[in-house]
Amino acid sequence: MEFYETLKFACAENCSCDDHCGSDSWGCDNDNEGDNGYD
Amino acid sequence: MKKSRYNLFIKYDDEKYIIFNPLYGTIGKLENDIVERYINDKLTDEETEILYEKDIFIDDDIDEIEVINKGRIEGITDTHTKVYRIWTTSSCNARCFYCFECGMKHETMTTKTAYDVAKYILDNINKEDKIRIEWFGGEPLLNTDVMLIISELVINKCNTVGAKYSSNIITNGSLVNKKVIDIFKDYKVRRCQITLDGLNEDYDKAKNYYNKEFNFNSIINNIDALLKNDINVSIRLNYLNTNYESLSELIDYLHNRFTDDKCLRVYIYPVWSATNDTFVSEAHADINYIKLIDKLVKYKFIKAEDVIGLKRKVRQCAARNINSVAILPNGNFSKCSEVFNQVIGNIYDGITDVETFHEWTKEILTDKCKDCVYLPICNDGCKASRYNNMPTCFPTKEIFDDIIRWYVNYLDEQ
Repeated sequence: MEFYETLKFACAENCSCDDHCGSDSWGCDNDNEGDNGYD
Repeated sequence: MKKSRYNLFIKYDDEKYIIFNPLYGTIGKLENDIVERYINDKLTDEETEILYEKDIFIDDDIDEIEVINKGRIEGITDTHTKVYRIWTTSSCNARCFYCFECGMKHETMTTKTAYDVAKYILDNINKEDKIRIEWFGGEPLLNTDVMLIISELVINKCNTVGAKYSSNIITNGSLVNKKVIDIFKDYKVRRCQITLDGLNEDYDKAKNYYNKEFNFNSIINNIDALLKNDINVSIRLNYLNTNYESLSELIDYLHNRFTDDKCLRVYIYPVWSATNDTFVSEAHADINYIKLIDKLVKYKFIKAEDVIGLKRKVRQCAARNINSVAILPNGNFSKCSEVFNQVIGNIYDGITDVETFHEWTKEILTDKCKDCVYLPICNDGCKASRYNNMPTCFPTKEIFDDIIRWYVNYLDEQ
């Protein structure tokens, strides 16, 4: 048995990244220092 | 102790399987004989204990459907999340052959409607709200006047009551100039989603702009200007079965042109067809799709963990949220921009088609999804695709095993 680091990445906002539209909404935005683009 | 219902076993090679549990994020390799003993309930106590620590086995009293429902229902009922996708116009300066708005009546939001849209939003802003405006079209930058009106009023109200505000735009990028960049800065439009369908003439052919001054080079220059002004740009690469070579070259081009730009993200997504109710691509995605993902990850345009299929989806999209609507240029509401013909209300009367509204915001899982092993990944799928008779599962489901194998190989290379 060999395990890798547990995946912790999850869309926790209302996100449509894998829906029909595939819009890159803020939900998956982890490159904004965790603020998801909000002020 | 019991087995998690979301343990997925994917053949790795002749000797091993990959085990992946999307609910808990567990990923690893198991020898064939261990998998066989797992299936036949003949694991040793020591093996069982290791797998328990990795959430492959879980406590008997854990209801995993309830765990998934918790996040999903929070996303539906979250009264502080308010997402407004606003069409400034349904007109566009491009003619993409796959556009789902093909045949939509061309309307442009008037100044009066913009004030009325703002009033509707303002009347519903409360302290601690998270207000998100997504500018949409048509090409939204054809009508920046209404963006200014709505943005100013909503931002001021958010500041006054202590609500959070964010804004993004889905644009083809053709009309970006200094004035537009100033608008983005002044009115907190923090991210642009811009689609590229290929390199050079492949892009020009797909977009088919009325004005041929808009072309691949002009769009790239506009993206450059946005990035230089610290505006986040998400480049969406539309994948068809036929444009692998062009997209591959395009990714190399973007890497050379925008190396390590922290404001840039590039992702890939299969194109859907609006004209014949099927994918433009015959498959959701294929093995070439993974080659492109691999390149995007290696160039650090996306994180490996961000690839669709690997991440758990806790909430559904904003269209399922009780407070969120798409607002058409005339002030009508639909729940989702993909089903713009399904009008459920307007800025003056609120929700008028209560039955359809409840259908979008109902908390019960779809029968088809309830027992699916991929439920943590898609979380009940795309509602709009059900209305449009499109495939409802996540777009990379058909190559899921290949994606998991790719990810494990990626981890082994690190």
